[in-house]
Amino acid sequence: MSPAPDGLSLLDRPNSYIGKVVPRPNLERLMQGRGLYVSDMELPRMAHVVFLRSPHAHANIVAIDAAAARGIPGVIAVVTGRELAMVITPWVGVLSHLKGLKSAPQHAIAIDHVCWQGEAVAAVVATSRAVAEDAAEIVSVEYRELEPVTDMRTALDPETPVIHPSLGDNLAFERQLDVGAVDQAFADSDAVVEAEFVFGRHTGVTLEPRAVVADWNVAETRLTIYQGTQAPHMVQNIAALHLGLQDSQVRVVCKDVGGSFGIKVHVYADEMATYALSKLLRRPIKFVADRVESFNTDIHARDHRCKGRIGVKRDGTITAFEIDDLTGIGPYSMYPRTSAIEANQIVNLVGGAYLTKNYRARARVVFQNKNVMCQYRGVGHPIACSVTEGLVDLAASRIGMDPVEIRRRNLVPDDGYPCASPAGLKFELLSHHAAINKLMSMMDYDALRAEQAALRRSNIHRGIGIASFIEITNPSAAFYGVGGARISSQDGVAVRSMRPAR
Amino acid sequence: MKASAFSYARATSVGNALELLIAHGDKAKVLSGGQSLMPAMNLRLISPELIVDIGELAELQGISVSRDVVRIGALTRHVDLARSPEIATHAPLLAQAIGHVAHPAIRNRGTIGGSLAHADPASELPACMVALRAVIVVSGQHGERRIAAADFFTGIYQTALTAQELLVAVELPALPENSAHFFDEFARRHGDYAIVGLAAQAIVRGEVFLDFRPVLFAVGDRPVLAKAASRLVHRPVTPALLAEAAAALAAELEPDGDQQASVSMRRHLAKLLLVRCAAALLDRPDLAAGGAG
Amino acid sequence: MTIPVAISLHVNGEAVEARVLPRLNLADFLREQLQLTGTHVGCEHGVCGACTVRVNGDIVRSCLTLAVQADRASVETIEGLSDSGEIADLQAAFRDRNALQCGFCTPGMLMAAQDLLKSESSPSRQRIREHLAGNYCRCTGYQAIIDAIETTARARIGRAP
Repeated sequence: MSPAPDGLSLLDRPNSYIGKVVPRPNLERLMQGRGLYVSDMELPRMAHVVFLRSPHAHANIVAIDAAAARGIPGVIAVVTGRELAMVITPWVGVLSHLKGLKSAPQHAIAIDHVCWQGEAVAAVVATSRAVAEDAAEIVSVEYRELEPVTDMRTALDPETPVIHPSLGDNLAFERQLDVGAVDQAFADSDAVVEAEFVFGRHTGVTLEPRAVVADWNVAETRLTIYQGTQAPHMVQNIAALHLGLQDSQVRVVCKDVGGSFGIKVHVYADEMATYALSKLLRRPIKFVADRVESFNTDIHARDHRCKGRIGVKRDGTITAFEIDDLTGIGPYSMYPRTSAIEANQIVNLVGGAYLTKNYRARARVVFQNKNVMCQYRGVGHPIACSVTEGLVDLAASRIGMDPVEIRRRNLVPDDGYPCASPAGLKFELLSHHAAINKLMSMMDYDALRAEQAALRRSNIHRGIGIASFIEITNPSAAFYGVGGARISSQDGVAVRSMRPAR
Repeated sequence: MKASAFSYARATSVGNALELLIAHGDKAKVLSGGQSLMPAMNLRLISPELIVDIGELAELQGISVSRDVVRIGALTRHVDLARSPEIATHAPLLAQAIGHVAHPAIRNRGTIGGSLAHADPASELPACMVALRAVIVVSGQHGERRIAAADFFTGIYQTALTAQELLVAVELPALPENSAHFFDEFARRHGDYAIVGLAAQAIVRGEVFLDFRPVLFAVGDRPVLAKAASRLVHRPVTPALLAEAAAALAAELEPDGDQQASVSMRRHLAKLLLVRCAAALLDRPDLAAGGAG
Repeated sequence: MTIPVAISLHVNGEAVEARVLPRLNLADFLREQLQLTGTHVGCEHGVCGACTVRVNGDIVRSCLTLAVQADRASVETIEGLSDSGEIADLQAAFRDRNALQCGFCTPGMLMAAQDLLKSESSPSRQRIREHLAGNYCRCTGYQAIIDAIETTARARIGRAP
């Protein structure tokens, strides 16, 4: 762009935001304690719901006796899964573009079959959360315990119980990828290194727990949902679909949210139950998860065991990557984005921006009797990066090469774009080499390595960790929409411009 | 996480508090600062029927110093200990330890009586009491009892207090000349419960311990006065002798493993703290350089 | 059912008379009975700091304080500190340093920060971290919060006579 006669460019214009610090307009209310979080909301006649949760990981519900609970002053209703099923239909967390992904129908409240410790088996609605908790303590549930499936490594063994008999086995999804000539590449390598990478379950721990107020106005047959969610249009669409309403009958209001990071982008059974309870009881119902519930029922993530192999030549050339990833996602694939995405991402991202074209991957997603698992900040990237970079470090160590040097020899050169990874990711204008060079000078890498060696002689161990990574940007509708996920964002706005009256 | 329902009584005197405790037995709980009681109640780990609030009792407040004794009222808040000139002078170990207890907001409510009665093995004050040879003063229907700190802590959340008694004060003997103290703990973040901690009170003349009371905490079900310390008293301390004492300490302890630390890690950290403690108290940095091995 | 207890206190300078069940904690009392929702509930067992308020000048966890214990006390919440202008400079620094994202921890952070600056005029970053160690933030990674508090401390010294 050629500068104007006065030397100014478009970026220098007084109202340009480029290069300026722009404070956010909503900070004032947040700093004054006048935020608009759903957990702060109150509506007339609003009642509170507490979910009675299964203490067992896997059980049949034989009977529920709520007579004593209903007698406590302030208790409005105790509602079972069977009763709620008259108001809200179950859902299945699959998308058509993830071939073979299967999952069982999940109800807002479990009906006969409880599949994780923490799954709701009844809803207690009362005038206050405290009273609802009092009542929940005296609801008596008879369970017949079933053997739980907890170890993902044996989830597919013939002796392991199948959680959902209608599905035939505990396999939710499997993906295989075989690109280039992996076996030949390993055969041609001077060293092949193997390792298993184990990642524990994480969760997001938003400071404001999940919160929703559902308000069914029976006179106007309109449902207003106030929810701390990342996807209000999705909530509108899905609530309408499962409650038998038109989209136009459902309005979702989302103002301030006390943290989400992906935790609040999903459709939870508890929230669906809350919408349904409002319809059933014809009054606003509020659900705010407490901290214990949050740990037990917010989605978990990143529970993977990933076996990795890397082939390398003595000159540092990486010949091939191979992974076999296993993850256990709880008993249901989450709705609507599915719980296969994290594994899918790992298959896509392992191998990073390294030159080798030889890559083989298998990912299996299995059901377990644990809390549900789904996308959380970074989806797959932490695992893919850890595995890839871990393997590269192991290869470097095996051949006695510096970890930075092996990366210099194998990362796509900065002038090598556009190109594509073996998994089919399109790369454009990455600059890993420029980044390494800058990093090396910023940290004075050689000096640090010298210091590390000197300290080791005194039995003081210091570590220096290097990792390169790639990040998916612009997933677009190709990520979910193409498979039928109902998370579209289609809305209208009316703009009216008025001159002040004189 | 809302507490279950309970009745509430604000005690008007120690005698009144005791009446209520005696009448209601283990269905009643004493409320002082509430910083340990309230979390347990909110989590419904306990559901007392009556809460006896002793927070207004003037007789349980205040720090007083007489010739031989520092008397600390049970309602003395952690922040009061931190700010007290009397504590700074007469029990500097406490003043130092208090900074490690939780966070400012907790220290503004938590009380010494509550902390000692709660007896969390990973907490700081019980260990300090043992190191300081404190006497725990307890009031019951038969009058006052005085219990040596070393006998007071009997297990995880267990003390010599009965359900019908009230901890009313703590008495610390006056510190002799040449007194020195040491406090340190390992914790993931400042203010967390300790992974392993050490509170020590000593008498040091020249480079010799005349008295040495290192008390480990978060190493078992109660504070542990290291018997191994006796090896270091009344004789010159060499690196070899210190290493021997550290090894003896590790053998004395039976710590638990948990998600914070394994058994062997706790033993290792305990040894490390003993070595650092001795080196600091004797002003012998050379002793710490060797490490615990 | 247990019997409500009459309490009489001041909240942000206003006299308040109420009848509360003994088990009602101060956080819920402020939020539900007085609609002062700036005090947030994040954990209900005293570890996250989102519920921090001032009682008789001291910061406390309102989730670990019973409303009945606040009888005859002077309670100040974030709304009070904000409206009086007491923390205007801290709030400006938080804004300028983007020391908040979702804002849920922010009232507690501001209360704790002001508590520190009232007693220490020139705290080191280490001291700021120690004093704020009882307040969790899940969004910012804390650095901007420390920056904002440090900046405010410097500015206050600069303004002092």
